[in-house]
Amino acid sequence: MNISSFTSDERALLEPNNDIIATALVVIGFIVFAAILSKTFIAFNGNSQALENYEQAAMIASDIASYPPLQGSRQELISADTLEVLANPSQDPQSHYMFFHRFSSNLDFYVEVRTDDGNYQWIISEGNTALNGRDVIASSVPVVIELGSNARCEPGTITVKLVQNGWS
Amino acid sequence: MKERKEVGINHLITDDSAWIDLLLSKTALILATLIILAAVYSLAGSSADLVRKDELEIIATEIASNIDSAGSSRSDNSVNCITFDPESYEQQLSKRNELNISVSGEYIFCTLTENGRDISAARQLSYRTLPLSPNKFRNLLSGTFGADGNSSQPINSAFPYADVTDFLADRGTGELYLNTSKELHIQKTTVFVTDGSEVNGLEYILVYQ
Repeated sequence: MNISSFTSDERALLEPNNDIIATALVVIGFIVFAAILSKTFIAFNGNSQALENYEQAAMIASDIASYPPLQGSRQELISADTLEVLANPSQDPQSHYMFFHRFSSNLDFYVEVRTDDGNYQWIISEGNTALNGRDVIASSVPVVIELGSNARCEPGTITVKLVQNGWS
Repeated sequence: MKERKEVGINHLITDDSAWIDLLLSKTALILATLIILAAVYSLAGSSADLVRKDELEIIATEIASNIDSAGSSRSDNSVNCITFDPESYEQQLSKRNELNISVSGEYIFCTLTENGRDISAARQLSYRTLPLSPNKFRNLLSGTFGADGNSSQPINSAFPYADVTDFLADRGTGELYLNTSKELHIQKTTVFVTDGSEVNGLEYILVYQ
């Protein structure tokens, strides 16, 4: 069967059902359109929620970067000694408690501070950093970390990781 | 009677004018049109709800970000004021009476009742917040702990200050329903606590009208 036999066929097999075929095409087209629309909305909703959470994480990160007890010998420096104390709550439970107390008890987050060369890393958490399948939204701010009392400074980052139940 | 029926069936079978094809296809066309129109109508209706929800989210986000920026500021006792102007929002939330905004220790919650349906939006707060005025807050502390928690009168409490924090967390569960024709005041405050050797400041954000 070639195309010319198909186009020159005048038996009109499909013609009486043209309406049904056209209607079926319209319905299928509409269903596809609605599916794409809802998929796009779900993606947009997820992304906007992720963006909001990111902004919250960014605000907490910049708040922590300017937290007075973390300041080193100068205002713009972060003291590695204080980070060490906060990363080990047993050394000074009061400082660790005060660090987290300002934030809403509803927020579940932990803070990672590391130098850019990767030699030093501190994790400040309220105990549990396990994700258990939950989503993490992270935001970082660049800081300068003052290592020890010999005034050696290293560039680094403070990363706040917000842990939340999944939204999708 | 029987004969006449057979004639009728025969007539139907032998009838080649294809009217049943026509009827079937037109019925399908009408049904499909009805379904598509209903779907488009409900889609348009739900998009109007989404627009309203977006407006509520803008209001909730605005209040929450003001509270959070008060929380992240380093100056104590500075008061930020927000005035509500729901009519300035994009689609004009003119039905002020049906707009409910509540603030609790954890969330900002906005609800709008429209056509018998509730549309709501909530925002989580980042800092410890209490829906209390400064006077009421200090009076509550004085009445319960015998000191108002100012720097001159720190509250005696053993670390981790559970009696003070639990008491205040309990007050934070109450909701403050906002009057949208009044200003909203946001103030950062510190409750000083001492365990005898060291004085520490617990930071809270007060939200009141």
